[in-house]
Amino acid sequence: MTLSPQEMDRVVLARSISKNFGPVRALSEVSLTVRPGAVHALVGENGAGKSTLAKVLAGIERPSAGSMTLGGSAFAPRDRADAKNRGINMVPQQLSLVGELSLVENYLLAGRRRLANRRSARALLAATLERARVEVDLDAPTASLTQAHRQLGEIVVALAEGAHTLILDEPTASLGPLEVGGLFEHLRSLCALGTAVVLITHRLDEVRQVADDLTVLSHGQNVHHGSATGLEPAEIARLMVGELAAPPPRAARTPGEVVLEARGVVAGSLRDARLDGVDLTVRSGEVVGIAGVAGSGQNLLLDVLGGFVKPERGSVTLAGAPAGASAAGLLRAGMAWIPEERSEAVVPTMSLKENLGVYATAIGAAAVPAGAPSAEARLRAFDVRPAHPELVASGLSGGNQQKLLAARELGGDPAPRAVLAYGPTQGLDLRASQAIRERLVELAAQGAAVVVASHDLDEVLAVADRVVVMFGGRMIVDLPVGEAGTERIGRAMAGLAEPAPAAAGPATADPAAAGSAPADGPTPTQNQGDPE
Amino acid sequence: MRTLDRRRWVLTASVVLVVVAVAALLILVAGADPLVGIRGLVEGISSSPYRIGEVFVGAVPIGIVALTLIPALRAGVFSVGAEGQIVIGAIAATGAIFAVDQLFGGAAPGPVLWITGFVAGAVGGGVTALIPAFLAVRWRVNEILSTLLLNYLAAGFLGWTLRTWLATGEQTATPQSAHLPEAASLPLLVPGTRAHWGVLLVLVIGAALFVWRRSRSSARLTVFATRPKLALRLGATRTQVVYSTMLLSGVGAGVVGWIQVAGVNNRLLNSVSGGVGFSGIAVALLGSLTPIGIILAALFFSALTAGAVGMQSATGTVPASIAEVIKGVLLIGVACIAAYQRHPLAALAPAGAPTAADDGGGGAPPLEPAGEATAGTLVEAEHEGGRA
Repeated sequence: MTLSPQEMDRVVLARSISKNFGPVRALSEVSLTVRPGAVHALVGENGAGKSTLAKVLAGIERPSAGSMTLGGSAFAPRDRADAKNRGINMVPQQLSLVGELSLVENYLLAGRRRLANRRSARALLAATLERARVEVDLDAPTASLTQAHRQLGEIVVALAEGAHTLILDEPTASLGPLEVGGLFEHLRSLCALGTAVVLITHRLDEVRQVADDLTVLSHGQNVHHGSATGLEPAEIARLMVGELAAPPPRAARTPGEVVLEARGVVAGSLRDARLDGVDLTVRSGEVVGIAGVAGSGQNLLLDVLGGFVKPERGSVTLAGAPAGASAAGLLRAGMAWIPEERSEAVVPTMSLKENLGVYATAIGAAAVPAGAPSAEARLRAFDVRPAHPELVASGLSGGNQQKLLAARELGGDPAPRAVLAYGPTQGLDLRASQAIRERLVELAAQGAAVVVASHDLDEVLAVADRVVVMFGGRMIVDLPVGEAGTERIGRAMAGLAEPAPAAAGPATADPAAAGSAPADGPTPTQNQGDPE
Repeated sequence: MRTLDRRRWVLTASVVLVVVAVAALLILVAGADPLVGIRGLVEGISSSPYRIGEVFVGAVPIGIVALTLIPALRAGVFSVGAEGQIVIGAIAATGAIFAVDQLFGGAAPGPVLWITGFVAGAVGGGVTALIPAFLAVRWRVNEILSTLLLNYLAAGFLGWTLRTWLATGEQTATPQSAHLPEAASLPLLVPGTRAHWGVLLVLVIGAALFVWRRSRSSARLTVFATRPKLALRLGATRTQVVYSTMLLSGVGAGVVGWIQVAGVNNRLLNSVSGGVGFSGIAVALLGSLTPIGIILAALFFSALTAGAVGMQSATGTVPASIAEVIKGVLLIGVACIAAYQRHPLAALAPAGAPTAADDGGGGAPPLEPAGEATAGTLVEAEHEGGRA
């Protein structure tokens, strides 16, 4: 690529950046070149290190190793303000504008000057708007602007502060398709003026739409770095997720009667995608895995299944519990619950023994049978360290709290009839993860209906008999695990519909896909094979 | 966890030291000898049976309010409406006692009037507490705000009541009700003092709560305060928890209203609540929500008030209101201890310093959601906030 000398001044070069958080290696020798006048897409799974890399560039995190240069001279920002001074600014996912204040006031608030001059600030912003060819009301409280305008406003404020390199953390996450198109137009016109844009996104079709350059991160490593042109989303998905090892052979189980069923569930939440008519049937002896990027509705679905959120429409039934049972009713009918945030289910001020017995003491379940295993035996069975029943739960490490939770939910007597687990092996080492997975499969073998949701596709594929992919509050894929190839799941997680048979290239010549996939292009498909 | 306990003791000891130092300083500033002042304080609460009785008389209302607040505070429902609930309870009890007495032609037997006053007070206080509970459940109105503001409404209603339908026929300097029938007064526990049978009621409530603390519902409330979703699985919905705990504290406060009317003043006065409702919250926290701790703290608070009067007369220059200052300092100390218990390490570490999450040695590992415990700086908070 050829660059004018002026542009050379602003190339951001990162070399062999590593970042450790304690023992966890979030980034491992990642290199990156951000060119002025280009959109650089940064993609990867959850936890692949995208946000960490962006924070290193923006001065929010300091790299553990590696160096950066800006226009040829060393660039080692002390903090975010330092990076801002050098012209690199990050627009966070959670917008930072103060809703009660107008854009002008927000700009003055963020500015470095001690004396605020409203008139000159307004003139500067107006000039920036003109330059970027954006029209946003500068004087209305930002809370009254649309989401897309707020996003643009944040970018304009960053530009007015002198940014020549903008890092946008999932700017399209809360925008509709039309708004996304508008935002991209503005990004292109900014690029034409020489601004560099780093775009973090989960949506792979956006890469094709707008990106010039592409960096793909996987498990903290750079697996692709170069031009984005000519890369199909399916290839990017494979780069992101990698070739997954085939799941270990599993004993064939024949699913029995339906144990847990959700029908036409419609529900809303502030924290997750709105559920839009979700159907899910889980049979006895079956492990259903729910995959999807964060915020696709999995959390809300599990909340509805667990009785924590009443759906606006639709129903959830668990065999043995009355229809529309409360969370307590579902618990009595034998539903085990491992939430994504383990802190929701472990009481830190109670001892391990009290945590294990919290259901019995608070509900007064049937008296503990004489031959029941002691608290210590239950803790040992799940390798909770230390297995000391009187210890307060807050004294355990995160991984051991997860084991404690598993011991309570999965190790109880009688065995659960249904299991809801979100990321049941998070924070656990390989051996402990394997033990929990084996326990989940064992429960299914004993006749439980098991639902396992996770951001981590490996975790889902390791236990599931059937894989369901959620995107934007809908179930768009429902496949037996044997047919759920990395590529199909990766595409579905990124919101790409099943390829139509006619368009299927050599890479997607999968007879199962061609056979079972509906041919109606981009519309998300409902749960297949569910007669309604 | 031993390190944690030791730090708590150090914190508690330093709070006590600060309180003593502030008290001594105030006495010095007032121009008196601290030793003389403290002797006056001790004599003020111990020199005669009457004075000892006064300590108990003062401790009864504070104790009942604090004890019945245990479940609410344990569940994290912070009701500060005891003041108003006492007032409404007192009005209801007074009105009901007069009405029933009239029904009996002015010669109602004592037990009937006691039960009448007790029930009416309990209903009055309970109903008053149900209003903020309803608002909190139905529209999520902050219960601290609604209970606090209802206190003013109750005070206004009391002023109106004492000038209209419950006003005494006599000429008095301040608005007040007529004298209650003799039979309505609570019998004295010890002759020669004002200590009445309400003292026993405190012990009964204390014992009941002592047993309750080992019950299922206590466990549910403890879980509800910190882990609402887990509590849902235990059957503790927000509706049920808010209604039941606020109702109990309202009933307790309403009964206190009756006790103040029938056991202490024998008539309804404008000053019937007299800050007892707020002292009750302080005492509940000071007694760390345990029945025995609360009873001791209530006695301590009451002794401080009674003793300060003795101090004033012994020194001649130290105003009795010094007790209020000392209570205030104590409350700040209690608030510090309470904050420390919630976030042991974060409360001590300066903002922005490595937080609890990074402190491996002997500290609690992070159990709170990431955004809450690890967001040390503004920038981090900005980025983590949405994921918490």
